[in-house]
Amino acid sequence: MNLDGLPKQNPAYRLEALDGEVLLYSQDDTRILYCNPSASLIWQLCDGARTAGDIIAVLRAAFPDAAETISEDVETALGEFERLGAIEWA
Amino acid sequence: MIAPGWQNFREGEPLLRRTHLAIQQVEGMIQAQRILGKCAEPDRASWGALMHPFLALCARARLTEFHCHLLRQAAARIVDWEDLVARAEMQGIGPLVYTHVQAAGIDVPPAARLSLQGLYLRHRHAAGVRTQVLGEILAACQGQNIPILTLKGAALAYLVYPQPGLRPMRDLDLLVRPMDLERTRHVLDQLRFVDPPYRLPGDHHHLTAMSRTVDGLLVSVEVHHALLSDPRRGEPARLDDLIDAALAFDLPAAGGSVTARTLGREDMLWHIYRHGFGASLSYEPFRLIWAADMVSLVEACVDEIDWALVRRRYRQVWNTLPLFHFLTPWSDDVLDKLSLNVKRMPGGVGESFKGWPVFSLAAQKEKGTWGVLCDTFFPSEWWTYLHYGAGGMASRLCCRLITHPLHLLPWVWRYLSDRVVGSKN
Repeated sequence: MNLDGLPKQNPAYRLEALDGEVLLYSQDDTRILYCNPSASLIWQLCDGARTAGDIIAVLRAAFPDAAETISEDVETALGEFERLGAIEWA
Repeated sequence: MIAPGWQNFREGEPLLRRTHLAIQQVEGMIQAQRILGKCAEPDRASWGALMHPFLALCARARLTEFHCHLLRQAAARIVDWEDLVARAEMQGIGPLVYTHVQAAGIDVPPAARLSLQGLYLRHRHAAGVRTQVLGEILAACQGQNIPILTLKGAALAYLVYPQPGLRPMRDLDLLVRPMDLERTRHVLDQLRFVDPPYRLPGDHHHLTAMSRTVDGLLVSVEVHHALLSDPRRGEPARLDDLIDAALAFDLPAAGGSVTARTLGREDMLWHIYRHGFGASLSYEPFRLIWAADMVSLVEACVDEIDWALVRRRYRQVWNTLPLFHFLTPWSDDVLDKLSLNVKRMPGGVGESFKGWPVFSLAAQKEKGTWGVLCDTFFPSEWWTYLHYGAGGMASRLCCRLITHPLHLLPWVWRYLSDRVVGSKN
């Protein structure tokens, strides 16, 4: 993962809670992704201004107990978002 | 949404679940074809034999405990849920299936459940956007003193469905007087709606659909100046013929609500019937959402509808009501009040017309000549009675043996003429 890349939300995607779950879905087609709370947090940090490295740093500061695994989790989540077309890299 | 604690992606709750419908973007494709004026052949093949008893049962806005029981029974026989969800979306009832599955307490496999949630959310969002746009249009027209009626889904979504998002739609359909067409087009221009790069002929019953993208959603508006043929006069109905019986309803809008008007209940039944089931053979095969409109309107307004008027003026509508019972049973209330005869189930319930000219001969090659002839001249009993609005044994027999074959004659004539001209050239 390029830590200097700027992940940016695709505006066609919306994040909404339904039935106690958080879902990231496309308005343009039928793509949809269930996100656990951590994944939804990562999505919300993809604002096109923060680099992937910044996102990891923010999350490590917020969740010091999970600091060791956060980098890999962010990489996994961004990879999935990218495969889904939910983010673009600036 | 703040995560209460970091949930590691590799333990416990799955990181992200993903799904993708097998038949995706069907609605989008149809919409694109309509916008491009190419609504002819393309995706009709995918409609064939799409009916599933579970989906047919879902074609109603509200369920009774009896319907829930039937749904649970039908659900037990579903083999491929994801395929069913894709078909539900093609039939325009994806959000209804989502809510009915929940109401009936049916367990759906996770991937299909996720797909249903996605459909529900997408249509809910679309309904919110369309409500806002419709409110803008109606307010602008009212400001210009343009009498206007909201038609079909755009009205039914608020009148008979518990939530507008449960009634997906492609366009907002509106009816104005012929003399107000240009002024309405101007209103839409001012609201930043744009014309597509083609124009329908001037004598078409509606203007070319104009569209505008709002919050990522393409909202399309069709402004009609006439509806399908009115049996009272044998010619298209105009706003002036319908306005006296019009029904008012409140449309939620930014900063309050806008009062919208739509067809009276009896005229609405007729319009749904003609549009969904009695239109030309060249029109698209019927979809379950139209059955849901019909069933839901009757169930919601059985006490308000003037049934004597329906029987007198819209006999075809009255004749077809028992046929819907075999898709999704009428409630006891409706059966009692209307005394519908639902004793005999016609053959081929839910089976749309699948012969020529709806499907080209080339597309039906594998059926063989006999199969094509049967499907063309002897379509399912259920469809035939529905399409021609036939009731009573004699009328139904006449419909199958005479009316339908006669109806096909102009198509046969045109086909043969084209062949002769083609061979000469």
